[in-house]
Amino acid sequence: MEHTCTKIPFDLDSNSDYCDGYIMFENRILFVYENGAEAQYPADEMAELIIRSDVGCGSLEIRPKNSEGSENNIPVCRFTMTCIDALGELCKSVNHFIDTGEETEVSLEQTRICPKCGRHYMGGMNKCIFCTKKTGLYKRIFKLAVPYTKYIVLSGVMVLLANAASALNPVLNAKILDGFLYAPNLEISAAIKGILSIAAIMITASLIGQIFTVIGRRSASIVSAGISHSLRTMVYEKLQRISLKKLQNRTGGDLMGRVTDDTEEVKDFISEDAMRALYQGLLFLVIVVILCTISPMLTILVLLPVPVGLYIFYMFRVTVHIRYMKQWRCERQGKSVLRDIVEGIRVVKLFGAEQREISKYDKISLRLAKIGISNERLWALTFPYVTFFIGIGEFLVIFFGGKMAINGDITAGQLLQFTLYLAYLYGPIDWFSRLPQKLGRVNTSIIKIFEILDETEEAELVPATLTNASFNDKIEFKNVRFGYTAYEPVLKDINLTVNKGEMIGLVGHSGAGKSTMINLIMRLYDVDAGQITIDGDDIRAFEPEEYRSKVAVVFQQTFLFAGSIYDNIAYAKPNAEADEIIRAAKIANAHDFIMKLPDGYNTQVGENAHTLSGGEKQRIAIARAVLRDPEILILDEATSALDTQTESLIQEAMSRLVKGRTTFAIAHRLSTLKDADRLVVIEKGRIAEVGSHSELVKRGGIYASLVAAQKQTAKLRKSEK
Amino acid sequence: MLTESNCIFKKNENGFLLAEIDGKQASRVKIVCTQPLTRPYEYVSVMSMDDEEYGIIENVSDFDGEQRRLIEEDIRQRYFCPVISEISSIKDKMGNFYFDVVINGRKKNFLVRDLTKNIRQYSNSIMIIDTDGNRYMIDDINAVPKKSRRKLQPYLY
Repeated sequence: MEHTCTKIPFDLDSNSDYCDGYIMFENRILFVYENGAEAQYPADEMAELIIRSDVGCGSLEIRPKNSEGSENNIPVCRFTMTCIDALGELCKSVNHFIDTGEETEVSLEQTRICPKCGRHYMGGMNKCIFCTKKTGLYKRIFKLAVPYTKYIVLSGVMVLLANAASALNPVLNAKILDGFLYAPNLEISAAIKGILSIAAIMITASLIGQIFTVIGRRSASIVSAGISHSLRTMVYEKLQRISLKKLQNRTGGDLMGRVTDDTEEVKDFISEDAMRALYQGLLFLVIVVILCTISPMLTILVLLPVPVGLYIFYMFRVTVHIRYMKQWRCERQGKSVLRDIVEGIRVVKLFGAEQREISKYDKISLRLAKIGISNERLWALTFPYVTFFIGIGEFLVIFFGGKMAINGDITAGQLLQFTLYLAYLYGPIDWFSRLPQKLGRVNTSIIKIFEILDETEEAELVPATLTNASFNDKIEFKNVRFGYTAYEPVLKDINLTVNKGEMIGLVGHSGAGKSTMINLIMRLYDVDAGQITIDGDDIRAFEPEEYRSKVAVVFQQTFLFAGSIYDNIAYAKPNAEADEIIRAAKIANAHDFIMKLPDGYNTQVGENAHTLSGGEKQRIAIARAVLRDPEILILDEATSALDTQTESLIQEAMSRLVKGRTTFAIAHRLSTLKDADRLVVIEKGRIAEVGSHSELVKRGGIYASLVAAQKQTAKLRKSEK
Repeated sequence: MLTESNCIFKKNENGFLLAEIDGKQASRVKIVCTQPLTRPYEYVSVMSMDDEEYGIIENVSDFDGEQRRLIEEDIRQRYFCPVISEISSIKDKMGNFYFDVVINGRKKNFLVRDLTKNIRQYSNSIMIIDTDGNRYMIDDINAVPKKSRRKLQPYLY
């Protein structure tokens, strides 16, 4: 049978041996092919397609309709963790079909395997480092340099002239030797005069060379600063526009690295290495031509070991790199053991484990010493031979060149010139042997940068056509399903109607899905299936900025940006007048503590500045929310990290803020939700209970048990005191 | 503690492991190792599919014949860790290590990051964990071909 839909691979058979298998969903049927054998499972008989992940592997099972207990599930296939993302997407698609009857294409966007070579993408990347064509990317990078063409040309010319000036030296040295020192019929005074004039030329050439170098470097720095600025801005702007779902596989460090380190790497390559490659290449050619004019035979002798030398240099570097990385890793391990011991010194002493810890560190230290000795031995034994081999051309020149000079084929000055130019030749050879490593690094950085720049912005399933997000009636969750990863839905079948002005308390165990629910309300993520609507309009139909302008949030941990308290409050409304900011601070009970600070609203906060307490930060966050004047307010554990006195101040501010707004509040301390109109209990991603505090307590379900558990804990704490 | 006297295992027609514990009706269970790397067959936990623990088996060898086979089979299925017989190459791309290996005569490639954390040595055996969470084992580093050993050596301590 011909299938047109996406085939999802799996790789283990029922005995946990590797196999070739794939699975697909088409025409309401799940087709499974394992080592050529076919099995079919009609969706009409399925209640759910489930992924179970074990250690290093997982399995796909069908929960049949009208069956209870997982023992009645039907095993579909087994797989290694490499397949789990794609199979998760398949599950999502099949379950969506089971719920709604709509067939959707399985998205393989989140899988991290190159379809061409089968290798994994590097951390946080969605492009293959091996298969991505680099020429196109290089063209795009060099386009960034186009506005600086005149500086690049100037810099290149200056560098060439500076080196031409220094390359004059061997010629002048030969001239001194042949023209004045070994000139038999020349008077001493004339010889001295001649030598002095050549010395003057050398000094002038060197001086002019230095001036050229300064001009060249200044031009190069203009180019590099310009390119660096353009690249950083482009990457940073793009990062701001990409959805959180696309960024979730990447760590903060990785993203920061792309804005700073990768752009820096590319900048260095363009401003330094690309120009240096041109210069070193030209220098190499020019010197070879000069050497050929002196003696083609000697030149061939010198050049013969060059390719081998290049290879040896390269291999030597690779080996040394691997070995020193090992040493570095071992040092890092040693430091981490040491840190554990120092930081946990009280525990070590308490358990009398000093000797155990000493021997643990001793072992690592000994291992480090062994690696160090081995590396030093390699360096000491290999490096002299490597340099000897590279320099073998010099000995050949002295032997054969000396012979030629004695025979009168070349002059002594030419021999000197030849050996001096030879030293110039090793510079480019050494530099080019480093080029593969430099190229490897810059290739990765370029791919990482363009991966972000080329990232498609969220495809709009619902076109954003509405510009006014004000709401008058209700927010509705209709059959909402969502997961951060394809194979693990966090929210399932969420149906809830919230009236305007209502306060909803979200309650449940850790990881139940409460924070995910508010992430969806904030539209940081979009639902996988179903809809969230405001007055009947899908929230995805609003312009995101317009929609978010109606929402404000107070988190448990308030993030203050580096800047003044005034700027931090005004972050919610940059064009706010001073009286609005002060009014907001007063409502948030923040004004009084701000006025006690010597610099008042100008007090600098953030990293390396004034440190505010948790409660003070929280009140600034509330002031921000007040200033935003939101229609929808979200409180995510807003008072959980505070002492009782501060909490009452914040509760007071909060009750002012909540008034008349539609509020979603999460709190582990259930007493803080006493003012909520309704409590929604979320359990394992589903709504388990909805009702007022008294209704839910009466019902004796999950909420009642949570209340009882908290009462018990409170009692215990009291008795401990 | 669960022993042969209070815990009976069987497989149903779908291939799932069921356990009858203290005479209660058999339900689907999974075997979870408390020390999967060092003592996989000792102190193993018998759990429901919702991660509720029924009890612990001190040593799988306390069970006989078919019962023991069923427990061991479940452990092998839940902890998948194929054995590498040969390492063809290891390529370093800025701290991302691309391994090309041979497992059961089949070529396989995987990516490993943070070698200190993801290459673990237990005397002569070595466990490698890739970026997907797959685990690979070299049972005895001295038993793999010399070429493979030489390739891996710079990454061992």
